[in-house]
Amino acid sequence: MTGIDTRKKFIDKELDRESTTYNTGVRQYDPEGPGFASVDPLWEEFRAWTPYHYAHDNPVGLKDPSGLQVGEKNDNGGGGAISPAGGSVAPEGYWSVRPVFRGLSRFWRNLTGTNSGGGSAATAPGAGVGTSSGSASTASSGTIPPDGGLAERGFRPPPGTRVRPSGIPGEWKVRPTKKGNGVLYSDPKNPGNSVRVMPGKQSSPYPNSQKPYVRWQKDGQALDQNGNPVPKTTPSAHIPLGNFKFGPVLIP
Amino acid sequence: MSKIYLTELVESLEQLADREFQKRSWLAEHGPVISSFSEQVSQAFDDTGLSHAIDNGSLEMEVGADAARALGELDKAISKVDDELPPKELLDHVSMQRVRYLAQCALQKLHA
Repeated sequence: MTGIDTRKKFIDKELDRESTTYNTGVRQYDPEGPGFASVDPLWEEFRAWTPYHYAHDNPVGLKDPSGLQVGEKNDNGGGGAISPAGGSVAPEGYWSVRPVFRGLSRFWRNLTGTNSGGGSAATAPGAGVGTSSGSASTASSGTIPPDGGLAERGFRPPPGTRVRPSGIPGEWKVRPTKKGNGVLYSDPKNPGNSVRVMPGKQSSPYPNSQKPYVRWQKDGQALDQNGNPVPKTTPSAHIPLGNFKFGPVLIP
Repeated sequence: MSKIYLTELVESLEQLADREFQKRSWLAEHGPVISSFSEQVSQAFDDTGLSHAIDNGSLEMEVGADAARALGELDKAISKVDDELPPKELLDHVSMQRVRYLAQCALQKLHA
């Protein structure tokens, strides 16, 4: 470390200090948001993902330095592009591979009559990844679950809390909690609507707080497992992560 | 856009300033009141939108200059607390005493 604050930071791109986004060339990456600040120009080919997602929601294993092409992170710059299904393709394969995706996704849509695009993980746009049911499908590479970009910001939630609970809208912001190594998912339009995943502490005298648990709230009001309003400090407001299901109470 | 839930923030700060509440809630096994240092901090900073307002520079606009300064001091003091300490030890730790004091100061500024 030299102590010099360079302008190039995330994925070796320049930080725009005014907008606090990274200019990737095609799009601006928002480290505070769900990913890119603008829609993927090729969103039609990736209907299984939100048009704002970054690197198939797998920033630990993948990168998207241009805003257009996802590649493996440890590919020494050249980068094998990654298919939505997670397979590696030719290094310069982006443009040549896109038509193949287009054809495949059209074929799939025609076959199934759905809008499901190139993704194999089969998450609906904006949908998260399940935890409690054990359905922790990965974003695309099949190895690392999505963490909303937290690892890129130097934050690694403890095991058991790294997976985004299923159903949280894709546009919700994700950030580490102030204390406790938790992860906060919040409605960008209303911080009072949020889901907070906490790892728990062995030293807690309360059994439910010794293991990962969830706190969620609507308009600042804590909710129990069934979405009913409860006082913040009651045991029922501490929901074991395995029992938590994101419900319609927070979906407009 | 930023919005701070002030009622919830005040309630959380009152609990953050209250040693007796902490003793009851941090050491409870089955309720009726359950909490921890991390929980109290998250309720005050994360759940109310305070952290977001601090990060995006809108805090002063939301609560005024004096309260923003006091909350900034509290923010720094909280960062220095070792939340890995067992609750019993943390309760009377010098860093926690400072947090309670600054939470009280912030409350006064918010009420002013």
